[in-house]
Amino acid sequence: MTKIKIVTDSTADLTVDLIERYQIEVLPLTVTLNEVSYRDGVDITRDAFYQLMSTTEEFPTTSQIPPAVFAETYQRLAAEGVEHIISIHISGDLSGTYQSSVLAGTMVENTVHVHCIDSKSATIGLGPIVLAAARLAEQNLPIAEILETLNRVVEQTAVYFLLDSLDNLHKGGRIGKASHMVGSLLNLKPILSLNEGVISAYEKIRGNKGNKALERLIEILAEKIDPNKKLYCAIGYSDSNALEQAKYIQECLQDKVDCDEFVYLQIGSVVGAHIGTGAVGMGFYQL
Amino acid sequence: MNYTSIDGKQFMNMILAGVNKLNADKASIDSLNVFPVPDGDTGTNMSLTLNSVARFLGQIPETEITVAKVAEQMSYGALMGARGNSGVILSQILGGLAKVFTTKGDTASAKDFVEGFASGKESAYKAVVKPMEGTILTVCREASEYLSAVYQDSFTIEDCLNAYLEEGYRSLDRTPELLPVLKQAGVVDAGAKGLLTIVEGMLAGLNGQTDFVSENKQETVVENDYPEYHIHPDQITFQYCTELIVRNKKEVDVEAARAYLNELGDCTLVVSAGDITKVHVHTNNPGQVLEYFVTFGDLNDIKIENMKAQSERFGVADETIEMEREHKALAVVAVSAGEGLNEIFASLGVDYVITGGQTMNPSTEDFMNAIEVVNADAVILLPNNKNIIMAAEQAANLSQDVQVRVVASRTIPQGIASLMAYDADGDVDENAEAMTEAMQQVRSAEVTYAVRDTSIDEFEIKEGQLLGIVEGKIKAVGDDMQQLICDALNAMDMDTAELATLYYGEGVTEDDANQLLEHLEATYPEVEFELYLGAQAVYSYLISVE
Repeated sequence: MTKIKIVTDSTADLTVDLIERYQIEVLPLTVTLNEVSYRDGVDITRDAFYQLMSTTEEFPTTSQIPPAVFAETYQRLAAEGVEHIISIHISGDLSGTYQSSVLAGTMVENTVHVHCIDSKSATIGLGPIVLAAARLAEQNLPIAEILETLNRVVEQTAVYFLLDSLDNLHKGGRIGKASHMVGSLLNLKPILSLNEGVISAYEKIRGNKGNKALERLIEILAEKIDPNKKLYCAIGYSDSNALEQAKYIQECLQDKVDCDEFVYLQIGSVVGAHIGTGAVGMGFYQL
Repeated sequence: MNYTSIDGKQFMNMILAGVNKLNADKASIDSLNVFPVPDGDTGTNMSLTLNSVARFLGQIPETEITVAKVAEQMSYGALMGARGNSGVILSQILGGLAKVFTTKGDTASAKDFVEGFASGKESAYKAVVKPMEGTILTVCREASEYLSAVYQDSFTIEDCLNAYLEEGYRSLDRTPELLPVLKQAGVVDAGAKGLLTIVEGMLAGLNGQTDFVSENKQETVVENDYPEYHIHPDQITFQYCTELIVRNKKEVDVEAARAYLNELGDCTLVVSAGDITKVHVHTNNPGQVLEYFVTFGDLNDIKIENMKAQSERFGVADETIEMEREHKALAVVAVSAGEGLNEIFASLGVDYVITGGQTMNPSTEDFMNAIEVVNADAVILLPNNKNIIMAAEQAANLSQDVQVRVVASRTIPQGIASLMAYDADGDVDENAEAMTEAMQQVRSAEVTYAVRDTSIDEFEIKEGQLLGIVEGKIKAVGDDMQQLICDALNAMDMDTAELATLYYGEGVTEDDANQLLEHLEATYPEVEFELYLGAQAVYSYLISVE
C-alpha cells in the first residue's frame, strides 16, 4: 500500500479534532502584531488574537512559510516512510506559501514525491479541499486518481463571505478586485467572493437594520448551491461574536441542501488579520 | 420674399436664424416648465442643442457651403449637442429633415421642406420608445401632416413654413387637452413651443433677418452660453475658449474674420447681425483674437476660459491628469452634480463622472466623450435624471466600437442604489440587469423651492415655497423644512422602510442637516437614517428610502 500524507498550512483553519481524525500535517504561517510574532494557531489562540487586534491600532502583518520549513517537513515525512506528499495551500495570489512548497518540493525531489496544489482559496474554502484529500487518501486510490479528483474539487470550490468593513483587507493589500469599493463614503457591508484565487466584491449592502447583509449572503448561497448535488462545506466565523451568525447560516440552509456535515471553522489569525472581526461566510464544493 | 428654392448659404442662414430666435426666447420657453422648479429647463436644453448646430455649421469652409453640406453638419451638430429629452427629440427632427436635404446637392425647393418636415416627424417618433402625445411629437406630426395636405406646386418656401406654423400653433394650443399636467399647470408644451420658435426663426432668416430681440430681456440674442464641452484635457489642442461681442463701428467681413480665426484655432464661429458680431473660437492665442476684433469696434462680454483647467475639474479626482486610462473590460459613467455626490459615485466604482448642473443637462457628445475617455470594452451609463436618459440612449446608439448599456436611473438615489449590484468583473448585460433591478429597491424624493406661483393637484404653490417631490410628483408644499421633509417621507411608505438616506445640498449647513437628522430619528425610531453631504445645487435634499 502506497503511503500518502496530506500537508497543508494553518490557513486551512482546521480544528484539532479534524487534524487528528485525518492525521493531517499542518504547518503554521506567522502573524506579527505589536512587534511580537506568533505562529498561527500555535502560539496564540484565535480568540486571544481577535481580542488583541481589537485593542490595538496596529495592523498585523503576516508572513509565508519559508521553503526550508517545507523541505524539512517533507524530508521528515519521507524518513517516516511516506511515498507521496499532497501539499495543499492557500491561494498563490494571496500568499507566497504555495511557491515555497513548490520550491521545497524540487529540493527533495529525489527523496519523495511531492504534489503541490494551489487551492486558489483559503480558510473555509481550503479546509474542505484538504478534508477531501484526506478522505481520498484513506480510500487507498491510485495517486493519479486522487490528484485528478482534487483538481476538480479545487475548480468547484467557491467562497462567499461577509465582512464588517474592507479596511483590513485593504491595509493588508489582499483586496484583489474589490479595491474599487475601498474608501466608499457610504456605510456599506461588503459581500465578497473568493474564486479562482482572487477576492472580488460580490455585492454591497446598505444599512444595518434587520441583519440585511447576512440574509442576503444566505440568499446568495442558496442560489449558488445545487440542492440535487451533495454539498461539502465549511462555515466560518472570525471572532466568537460572529459564531451566532455562522449558526444562522446553517439554520437557514440545512433543509434546502444535501449536506452530511456542516463543518465549523474559526478563521485563524493569518486570514483574520486581513478580514478583521465580524466576518462570516461559507466555502463549499459540489462534484 | 417668394423663394421657390434656396442655396446652401440661404439654408445656413435660415438655420442660424432659427438658432438665434430660440436663444432669444429660451427664457420664456423655460418658464413653461410644468413644475416650478429651477431644474433642467426645456428652452435652455434646446438652445444648447442648437448652439452645437451653430458650432458645426461654423466649421464648413466658405467655399463648401451647399444645402447638402449644411444639412449634414446641422444633423451631426444636433445629434452631438442634444441635451435633455426635448433636445434629443429636436435632434431627431433636424436629423430627419437633413435626411432629405443631404440628397439635394446645392439647392433645396419648397417641396423638399414638405418632405423634410415629414421625415423629421418619422425620425422623432422612431427615437422615442413610448411616444407621448401633447408634446413636441404631436406638434411636429400635426404640423407636417397639415403641410403635406395643403401643399400645392405653386407654394413658395415661405408658404410652406407659414402653413407649418399655422397648424403648429393650433396644435400647440391643443397640447393641454392631451396632457393633463399641462392643463393643471396652465401652460402649453415647452418643447413644442421651442420647435415652432425655431421654425419661426427660419422663416425670418429666409427673409434676411438673423438677429432677434428677446421677448423677456431687452438683449440681443447672439449673447449666449455655448455648451461646455467636457473634453479630456489631453484631447484639447486649443486651450482657451474665447468669446466676445463686437459692437461694430465698421463692418466686419465675416468670411475674412472666420478665415483669420481658423488660422488661430478651431470651433470658429463668427455671426454678424446688424452692428453686432458674435465671435467664438478655441485658440492658444486669445490676445490675438481680441487685437483683431478691437479694430472693428468696442468689445463686449469678453470671456476667456481655460478649457484644460475646466476639463480637469470635470473628471473624477486626480485621474484626469493621466495620459490615457488603462484599458478596462467594463466601466461606469454617471451623471452627477455636486462635489459630495461626485465623490460618493467615485467611491462606488464609477470611472467617470459627467458633471451636470441644474440647467446643464449633459449632451450626447458629453456621453460620447466620457465613453471614449474611460477606455473600456463596455460602458454602463447612469443618467440619474429622467431628462437625461434619452441623451444617454442616443450616445449608446451612436457608439460603434464600445458596448454601451444605459441603466435608466431617473434620480441620483436610484443611481447610487444601482451601484450596489455593480460587479466590475462581470458581464455588461448581467450587470445592467442586476443594476436595473437594484435601483428599483429605492424610492426617491427631492426637496427644492418653487420659482413661481402655480397650482398643481391640490397644492397652491407660492414662489419661494419648499417643494417635496416624491417619485416625480409634488407631494408636499410648505415653509418649514423639517415638516416638509416629514410630509415627503410620509408619502414614501415609511412603514416598510428600513433605511433612509439624505444627501444635503450646497445651500444647507452641516448644523441644519444634523438637526434635521436628529428630528427624523426621533420621529421615525424604526428607520435607520444616514446623512451625507451631496453639495448639489438647487436641491436642498435628495432623499432615498429603501
